[in-house]
Amino acid sequence: MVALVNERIDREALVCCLRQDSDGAIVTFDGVTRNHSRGKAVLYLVYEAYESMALKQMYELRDQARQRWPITDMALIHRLGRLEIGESSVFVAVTSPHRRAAFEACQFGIDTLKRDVPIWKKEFYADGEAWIEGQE
Amino acid sequence: MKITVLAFASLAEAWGRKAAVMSFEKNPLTVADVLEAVCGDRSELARYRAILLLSRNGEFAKPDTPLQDGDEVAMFPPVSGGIN
Repeated sequence: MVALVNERIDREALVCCLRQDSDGAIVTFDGVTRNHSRGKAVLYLVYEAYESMALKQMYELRDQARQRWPITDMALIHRLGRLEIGESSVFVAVTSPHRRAAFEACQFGIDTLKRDVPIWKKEFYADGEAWIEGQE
Repeated sequence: MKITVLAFASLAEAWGRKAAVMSFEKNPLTVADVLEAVCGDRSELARYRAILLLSRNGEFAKPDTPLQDGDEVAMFPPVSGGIN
């Protein structure tokens, strides 16, 4: 499953739908919103995407992972809009018969998504706000 | 020809809009012509010219990428990711 969503990411449901009886491993990465950034307290965040391009790239990323590793499937979900601290902003899950491929594909999935997919976040502080671009 | 121009994140705020349909007389037209029409001599957009990413119809593009009537061109800052 590949999706951009505006509501809470249901991690359990995603993993449940991905898993097949031939799988021996499920590796997940859960990216959660943090209450601090570069020395400032963050109150909440807003995520924005170039949705059509982001989705296209996320599908390509999943296809690349399937070609490179013997995995069963990969889910890539990113949330958009306003998020409170501690909520999941991005969730990657990989299922595979064996764990090594699942670990490697999951790391590839989140690293590539964060580097290449056109999604931006804006942090809101007590005294202002800032887009985080090209860095973290 | 008519081109839909999109901007995102801080670039949209600096431009003051997220989307516009712009008409061009020039033919052939390239992504660079659209960039020039948007940024022109606007100082608040000047700092983006060296760093912004460009796309045509959802695929990364270069300034010399040619355009056709009805194309969608997006301009955006580097994404929020990073390596941490």
